[in-house]
Amino acid sequence: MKGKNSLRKLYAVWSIIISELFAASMIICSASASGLFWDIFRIFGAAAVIMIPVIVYVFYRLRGRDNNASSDELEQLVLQKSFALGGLVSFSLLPALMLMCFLLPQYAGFTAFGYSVIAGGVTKIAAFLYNRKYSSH
Amino acid sequence: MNNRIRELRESAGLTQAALAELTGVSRQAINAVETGKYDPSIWLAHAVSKVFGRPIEEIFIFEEGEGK
Repeated sequence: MKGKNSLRKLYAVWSIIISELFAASMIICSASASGLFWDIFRIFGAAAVIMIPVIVYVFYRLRGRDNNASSDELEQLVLQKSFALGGLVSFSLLPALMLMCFLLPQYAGFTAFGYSVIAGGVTKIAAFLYNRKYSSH
Repeated sequence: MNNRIRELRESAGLTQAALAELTGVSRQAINAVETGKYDPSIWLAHAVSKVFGRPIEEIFIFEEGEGK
C-alpha cells in the first residue's frame, strides 16, 4: 500500500552519520599536518561537522512529505533490508576506521574514503540484489 | 503464505498492472505476492479482498505455525 513511511527519516539519519564520520576522520587524519592549507582544511572540516546535520535537516524539511506516497510496501521492504545490511557493515567496520585513522593518520583520508565506498557500496548492491530478488518474474 | 490472487485475478480478467492500480501498489509488488516471495501487509491484503469482494481468509491461505 502507498502510505506514510519513515524511509526519508532513515535516509537522513544515515546520511548524517556517514558524513559526520567522514568529516571527523578527515580532521583526525590532518591533525599532524601543519601549514595554512591544513589549518583552513581543519576549520572547514570542523564547520562541516557542525553544518552537515543542519544541511541534511533543511533538505529533509524542504522535500516535504512528497515521497510518502511515492513508494509502495515492497520498495520499502527492499530499502529497509538494504539499510539494515549497510548499517550492520558500517557499524562493524567503525572500530577499524577509527583504529586506522589513529594508527596511520597519513593514510586516514584513504581509509575514510574506502570506508565510505564500502558502506555506501554495500547498501547500493544490497538494494540492487534485494530488488532483483523480489521484483523478478 | 499461499494465496489465490492469480486465480481470482485471472477469473476477474485483470492484469497484474490493473490489480496494482486498484490496490495502490506497484505491479512488482503484486507479482511478488502472487509468487509467494512476499507476504503483504494487512492493508494490502484488505485492499485485495475489497477488489475481489471476498474475505481475506478466502484469498490468503493461513497455515498453522507460519509467520510466528
